[in-house]
Amino acid sequence: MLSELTHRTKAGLRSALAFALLLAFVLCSMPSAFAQVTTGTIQGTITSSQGNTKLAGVQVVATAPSGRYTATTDQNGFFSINGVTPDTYNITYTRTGYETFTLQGVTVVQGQVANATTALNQSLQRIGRTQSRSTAGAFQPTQTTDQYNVNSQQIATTLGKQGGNSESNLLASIPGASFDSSGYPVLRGGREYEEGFQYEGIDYTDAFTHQFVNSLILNGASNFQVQPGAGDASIGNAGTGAINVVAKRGTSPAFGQLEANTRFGRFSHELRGEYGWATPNGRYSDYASMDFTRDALHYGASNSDALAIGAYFGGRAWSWSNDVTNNFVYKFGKDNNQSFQFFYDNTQFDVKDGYGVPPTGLPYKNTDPFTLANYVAAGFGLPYSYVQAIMPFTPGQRFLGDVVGGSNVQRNVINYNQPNEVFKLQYSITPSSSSFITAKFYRVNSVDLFDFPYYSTNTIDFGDINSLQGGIRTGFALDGTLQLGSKNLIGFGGRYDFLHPVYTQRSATNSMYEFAGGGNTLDSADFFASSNCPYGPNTATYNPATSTCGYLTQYMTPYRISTAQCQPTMNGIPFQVCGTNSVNGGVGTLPLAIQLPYADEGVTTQRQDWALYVKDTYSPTDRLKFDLGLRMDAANWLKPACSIYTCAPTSFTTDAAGNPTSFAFNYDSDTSKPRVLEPRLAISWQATRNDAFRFSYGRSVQFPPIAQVDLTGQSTAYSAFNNIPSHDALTGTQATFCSVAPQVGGQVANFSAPCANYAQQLYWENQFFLGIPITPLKPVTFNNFDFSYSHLFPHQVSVKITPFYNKSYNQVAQTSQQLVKNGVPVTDVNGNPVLGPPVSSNLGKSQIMGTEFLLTKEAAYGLSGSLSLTYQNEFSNVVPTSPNEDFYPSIPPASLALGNLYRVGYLSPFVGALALQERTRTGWRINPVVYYNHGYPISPGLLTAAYVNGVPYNLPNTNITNSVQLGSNLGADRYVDPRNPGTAFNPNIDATRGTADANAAGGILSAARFSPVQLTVEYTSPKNPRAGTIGLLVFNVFNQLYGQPGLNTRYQPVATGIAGPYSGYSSSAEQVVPYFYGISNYTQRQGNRAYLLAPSSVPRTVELYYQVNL
Amino acid sequence: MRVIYRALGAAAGIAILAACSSGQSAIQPPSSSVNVQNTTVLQFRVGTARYANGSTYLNTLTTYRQPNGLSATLYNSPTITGPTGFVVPAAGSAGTDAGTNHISSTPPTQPGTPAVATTFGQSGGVFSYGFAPANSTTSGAANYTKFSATSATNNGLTADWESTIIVGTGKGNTCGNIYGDCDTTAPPNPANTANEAGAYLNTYMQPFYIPVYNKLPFLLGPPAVPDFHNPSAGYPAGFLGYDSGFTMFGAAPVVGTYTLTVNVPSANVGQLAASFTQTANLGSTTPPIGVVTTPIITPVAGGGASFTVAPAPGGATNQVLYVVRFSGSSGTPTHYSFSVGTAGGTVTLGPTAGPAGAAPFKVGDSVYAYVVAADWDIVGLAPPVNTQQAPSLPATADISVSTVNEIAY
Repeated sequence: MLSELTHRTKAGLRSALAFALLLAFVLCSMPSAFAQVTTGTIQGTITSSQGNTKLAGVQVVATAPSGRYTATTDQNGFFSINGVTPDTYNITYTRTGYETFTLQGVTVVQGQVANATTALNQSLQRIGRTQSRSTAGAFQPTQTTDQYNVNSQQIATTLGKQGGNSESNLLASIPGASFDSSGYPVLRGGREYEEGFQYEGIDYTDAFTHQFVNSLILNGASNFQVQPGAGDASIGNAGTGAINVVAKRGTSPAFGQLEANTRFGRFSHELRGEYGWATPNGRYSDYASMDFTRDALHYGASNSDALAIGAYFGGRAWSWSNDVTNNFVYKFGKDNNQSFQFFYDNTQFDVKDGYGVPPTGLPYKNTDPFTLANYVAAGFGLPYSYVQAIMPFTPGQRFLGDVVGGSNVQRNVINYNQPNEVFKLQYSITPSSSSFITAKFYRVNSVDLFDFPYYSTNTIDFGDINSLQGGIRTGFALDGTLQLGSKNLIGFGGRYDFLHPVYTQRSATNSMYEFAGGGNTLDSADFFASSNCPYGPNTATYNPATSTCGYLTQYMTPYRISTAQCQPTMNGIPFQVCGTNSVNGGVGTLPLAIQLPYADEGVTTQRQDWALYVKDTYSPTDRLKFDLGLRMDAANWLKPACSIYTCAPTSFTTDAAGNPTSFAFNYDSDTSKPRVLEPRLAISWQATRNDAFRFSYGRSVQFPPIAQVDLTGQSTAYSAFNNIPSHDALTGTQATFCSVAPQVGGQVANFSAPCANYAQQLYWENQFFLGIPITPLKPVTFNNFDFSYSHLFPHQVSVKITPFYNKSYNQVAQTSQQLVKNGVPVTDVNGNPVLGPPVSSNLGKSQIMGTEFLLTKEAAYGLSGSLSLTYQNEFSNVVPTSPNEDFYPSIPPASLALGNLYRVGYLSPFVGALALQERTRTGWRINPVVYYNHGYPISPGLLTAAYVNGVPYNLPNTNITNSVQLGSNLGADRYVDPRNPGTAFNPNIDATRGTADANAAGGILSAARFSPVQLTVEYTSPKNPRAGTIGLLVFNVFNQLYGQPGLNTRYQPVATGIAGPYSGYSSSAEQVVPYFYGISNYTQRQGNRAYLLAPSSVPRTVELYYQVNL
Repeated sequence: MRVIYRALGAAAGIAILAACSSGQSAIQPPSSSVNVQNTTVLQFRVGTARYANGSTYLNTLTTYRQPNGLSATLYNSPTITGPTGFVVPAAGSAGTDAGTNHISSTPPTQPGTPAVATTFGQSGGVFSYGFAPANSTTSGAANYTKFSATSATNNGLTADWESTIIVGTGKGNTCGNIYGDCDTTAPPNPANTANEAGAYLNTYMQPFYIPVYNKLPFLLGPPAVPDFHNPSAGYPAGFLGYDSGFTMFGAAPVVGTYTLTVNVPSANVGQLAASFTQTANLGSTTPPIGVVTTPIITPVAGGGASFTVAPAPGGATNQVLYVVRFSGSSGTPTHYSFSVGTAGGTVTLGPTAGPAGAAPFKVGDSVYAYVVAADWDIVGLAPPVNTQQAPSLPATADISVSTVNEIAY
């Protein structure tokens, strides 16, 4: 079996194996994720062309710029080389008595077996014969699992040029991959966090949300691989698929390129370069790349249509990215059979939104009449000045009249600051040509800053935020491959990741919303100091029965904004807050009040992920291959022990009065230490020379992001209130809702947990806004099936068609319960229940079926390219078109009770991409790229699920019923007669938006369009290629600016198909001041049609670039 | 990475990647619209209103409907122009109509632009059966008649703060008035907002132009119309009742021709989707209907009450009894009504006539009753019973309103 291991001792192998197994065993007590390898395998069987006998003892040498590998065939003529760095190799076969033969162009990609079977002649030496097939074509007869490899040439074709850095566009050209309606990449309909995303074998996702961390900037990639479905057993915690990018390595001879480009149509330029070198003996190699981009994207904001619909703030003002990568490898040992690799990547990505910030800057929320009006409308019943008196300043705001941006900048902001720093230290050893072991240690550090002091313009649902988000992922992984005989290629490995999330989010407006929100027990009077009221520590004469002072003023000194801080006017418009209220000697001050603390979110939970896998690729013949594997993904959730203060109870006991007295938290063990076994089976069969079939089944798993499990308020935010006794404004006594019980509803809500102090009381008010602090969740499990048929046509044209099916359970979805305070269900003034925040659960489910299609034509010259098409039809019990459908999906309780399934709204059912290249021998290259998207479901549907008198129904979806479905009643497309509304079962429809619709939400799609077409024309002198390449790349050739339409939530119905004059405007009468602070369109309407169509694409851009090959 | 952002109990996300936004383009879904000008019918009558305070006012009766009887549009702007000599009184609620001969509305303007104050303002329109401040907005809410209470202890009958007794006996309470409003500080006072009165939303308290404490709501409730109080029936929460079709204006009627113009706007400010004009003639300012007797309220065991309505005065062809119950605890009124004919008589709300079979009244409730006599069948032309697009209206629309009887149940 191991007869070819002649140059390695079996003892040495056993030692290595023992070490590996020991290490794997040790790892059993530790964790991740998708443990995909970054190397591939070359194997083949060598026969004599005369008599077809199998030749033993053939020396096999595979060489490429990035490495050299050797092996010897066994008595069956078989050889296998594992741990091969992805590259294109020339393989030389030498045996006494036979001519030496070199097979050229064998391309190795990560995780794949490259077939190098050939026959030797008993004749004179002959060099040169070209391997007929690349690994990037659609016809891959030995591929067992569904996967798509894109080599550097195809990357260049898809992105228009070498060095293109748009990973998004690259993904869009691959079957099975598409973008959700928010623009985030998804695989086979998975949600945006349900996919693995790796660069150089490192899980490139952040510890909090499990989303990609490199902002989809492609830099230094040698090979790009997408694996829809479960993949083989080396892939884990990857939901519906995985993306794996392998970095380039230094080579000998060295290579390099430097590019500068500038773009017209938007202000943008880029400096990009790469250089890879290696010593001639391959011992040292290094690859470095850098990509510096400055981009002033303004989408359509300069377009008159955009201005007309108020896209003033929608465009991105400016983005800035620096990405540097370095990949150093040191090889040593006999035949360089060992290596250390140090990989480093650093990305800085900053974005500043709000193009066109007026010279005078933007107001903060507490000087923004829109915001203030909304708070007043939300039920404060307070004048602006009182709202401002208790509203905390936005983090970073220095005084009331402070503004953001503009020429008189008081505080400039970067709305998105997304840095990430990643490194990997890897050791690899090739004990023999047929075995390979690698161990790596890595860290992904990505903590983003999101800073929106003024986000949005006129609604309180998008207030200011100042957030740190992300975390640190530290991991260790071991992977190995071992060829057992000529038929079995064993793979094994394990991985441990420690996830340390970072999350804080402070918001002044959220604080105010909590204050005004339904069912709170805070009374504004507690916060205010009336005239001549004694206040402050140690001066309290407060008497709840007689005093007119606010309760808190006896403990804390009220806040006062000085006259100097309170600018009387700005641009001639007086601040309404700067009155002449004279309180305690103050002149020109605001009302005195205790300021609210920030609403503050956080996270306390950490997690260990670990995984083990073993697989066997069994090849009974060259044409038949089986991949059998078993994987276990596991996690240890490191969270506080469950109690009524952290988790929702699973059961409880009651006293004689029926009030809960003790609680149990017997969550399924899958919620704290899930261990999921995932069998994988894949088969490939090459039926003929040009026809191949494959089938695979795999169970896969996705651990919920920590962001869905733990959103804990920051108790430290309220520390200033620690020494103040709790005071329920409704009862005048100690508050008794300081536990999760009020959010759970039902009988549990009868549990009364006294608040120890006012800080606790505020903390729980905040938590009622966020949800239950800890929500134990099971992993989401998928069962994936796919089947492929591929065919190779003449002229290197090949096709592959892959029907697939995937069904998931334990999907994370959120539901809401009616809030309960002090044992009393909270209702509004009309008796309608006040729902608590959506709380995560495992009640979601989905199923998808679809078909992937890929056609490729490969050619060094002439026409080449690819056509990718994906049809996908997915159903889920999450109501489509709801906000954040694929990150924080929510299911209305009524819909859940009815078991409704909907076609998902975040997924376009049909997408495609066509990337063509015509390369001439005279040095010209013409490269058009076209993307097609059939659109997203956008309709709210004719039916909606809602409760009537406690019973769930699917009811006609009108403006009197759909508030339950969408979280607001703004999404209806049918309107009842206001004077004769009828019933929820039989409403009197007076008018509709006039658009066609189907019963289920998402019933209609936005109309299909070919979206931004890209065209490249470049020239490289065939006589002197080192002189460089000059090119012109036109992005968005037809200047298509408009994106996905969305339901106009500010639609004013007049009659069927007739919108009213206020359509697109906020209904708030306070959205006045049309020239507030000189911002001419601050109050403009969103649009006056049933659906809104905002410009969201960058305008036509012409890029001129010059590339020098070093 | 996307920013995690949660607000108003729901998360919302923001696409943050330049590359992510570069993909899709699309166009608007197709839509079709109705021809309002050709498919809807406006009717208009005027008459006299003999009100409980002894005055005679201008009364109007309008219908504006689709072929199926529903309201013609969800937004329109009406204007009534009176004959020479008709003068809108100088009441605050008349706005710029005061002293003119027209009762007008304010054309839609861009939000934020100061709107001219008129009788109907921008919220008032003509609906299937009368005028109502129910023009649609962009909030998507259904503008059926609801009640807004700022406090669970509120039990006011009118919208006004610190209102006093309307008409009738009045029972008084410790706060010095019948509404339980003990606030003695003018709003806005953040410390006392809880004591301010509630308000009827999306219906007119009538007549226009008179002091608020003399106004009344005229909403039809069961048993005259289908019982919408039963929660299992699926009527929208907070729906208080159907319109009575008439609208009284506290202006002296003048003989002559009155013109009603109704403009239906479109999405483009300043443009109309349709425009209608109807005229009605008032031949005499003498009320043809005599004084209506105040109804008598008699509690019955188990939470009900009987109401005795006297025979209708001369000139009337129909009488409607309006019953309003205010709870001292919920603050939300419950409306009942009876079409009692000209003969009058005694009608009863039994112990199970309340919402979902409950008692209609309980101890502590305030119960109000008043009668309207008219020269047309108020209930018979009202939705939801009547679904005609152009029901037959009387030549003139005259009414007489009784004083209010009120008891503390």
